[in-house]
Amino acid sequence: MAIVHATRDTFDSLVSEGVCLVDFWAPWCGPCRMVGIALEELEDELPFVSIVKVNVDEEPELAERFDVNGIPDLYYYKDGKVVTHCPGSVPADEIREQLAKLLY
Amino acid sequence: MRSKITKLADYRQAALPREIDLRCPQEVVEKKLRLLTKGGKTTVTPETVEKGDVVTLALESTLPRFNRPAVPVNVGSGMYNPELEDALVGRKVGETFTVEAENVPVRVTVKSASRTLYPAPTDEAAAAYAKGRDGMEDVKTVADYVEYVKKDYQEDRRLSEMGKAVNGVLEFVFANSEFDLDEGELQAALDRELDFARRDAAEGKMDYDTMSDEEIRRFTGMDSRADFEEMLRRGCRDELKRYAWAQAVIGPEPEDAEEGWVYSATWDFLEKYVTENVTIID
Repeated sequence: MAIVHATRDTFDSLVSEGVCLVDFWAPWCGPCRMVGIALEELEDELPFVSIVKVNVDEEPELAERFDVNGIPDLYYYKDGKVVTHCPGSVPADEIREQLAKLLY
Repeated sequence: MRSKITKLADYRQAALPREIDLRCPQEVVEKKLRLLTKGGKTTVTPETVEKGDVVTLALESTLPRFNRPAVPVNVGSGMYNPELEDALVGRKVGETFTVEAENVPVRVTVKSASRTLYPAPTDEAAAAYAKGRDGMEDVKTVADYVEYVKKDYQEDRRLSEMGKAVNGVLEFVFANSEFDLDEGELQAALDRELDFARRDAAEGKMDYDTMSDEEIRRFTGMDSRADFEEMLRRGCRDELKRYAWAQAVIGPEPEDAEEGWVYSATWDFLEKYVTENVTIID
C-alpha cells in the first residue's frame, strides 16, 4: 500500500481498517526525515500495512486532536483503534517489531 | 554533592564484547538502493517464492496464531515465524504443505505471491534522490550514494554498539558498587524531572497533575502515572550514582563544566576505554 498523506477529512477512513501506522511529521524536522526514510523502506516491504502521514503544519487540528507535543510521533492503529503510541525517532527495526505484534 | 560511593567496583572487571563489527551488510545497501528507483517499480507474480516476496497464506493448526484464513507475510523478514517463512522458499502459488512451527504442525496453503522489481539504479536517480536531503550534498552518483549508505550505517552502528558497551560497564559498576544516596538530592532531582514533565504537558495545553490515565498513557507512553514516576525515580537514582562514580574515578567536576558534564565525562572516559580494549572491525 502506498504511503498516504492524510487530511482532517480523510484521516478517519484511512485508519478504519487493518493495521495502520500514522506518522505525525513536518518537513523542517530532521528526525522526521529519518523516520520518513524508514517508512519508505517499509512501504514496499509490508504492502499490507497502511502508512498514513500527517504534516502537523498543514493539519494542526489533527495534531491537536492527538495532543502531539513533539515530532516525529507514531501511532499504531488496528481496525480503527489506537493500540500503541511511540513518540520520538525510532529505527525501522523497532517499527517492524511493533507492527509484527499487531499483525500476528 | 552529598551522595557518595561507599564501595567502588573496578569498571575494568565488566565484560566487554570481543569485537564490534561496523561493516555494512550488502543486504542493507541493496534495500537502500531500491529507494532510488521506487518510482519505476513493478510487481509480478513469481514462479516460486523467494525471500523478500510478499505472500498471503491460509493456515490450519491447533494454535490460534497459526489458524487463519488469510495472513500476509513478507518472506524472510522473520516478523511472523522464521521456520514457516523458511519453508515457503521454493513453493508455488496454490501449493499446500505442512511445516512444524512453535512445535505444532501447521498446514499451509500459498494463496498468492507478489514480488516487487526495481529498475537498476542510475547516477541520475541517485543525484535526484539526494537533492535537498541533509548530509547527502556530495552524492552525485550511485557510487557516492553507496558510500553514503555505508558511512551512515557505520555511524549509527558505532553509536549503538558503543552505547551498549558503555552502558554495560555502567550497569556492572552500579550493580557491584555501593552507594549512599542523599534523599534530599534524590527528591530535588525528581522534582526537577517532574517540572520538565509539567512544562512539556503545558506546551501541549495539558495539566500534568490532573491528567487522566489515558492522557498519561498518550503523553508518556507508559501504562500509568505510577509507572512513569517510578521510571523517573530510577533515572534520578542512576544519575546520582553516575555522578558519584564519575567523581571517584574520573575526577571532580570542573568549575566551568557545562550542563550535563556527568554524561559527557562518563561517555568520553568509557568510550576511550572500550575503543582501546575491543576490536573494532570497519
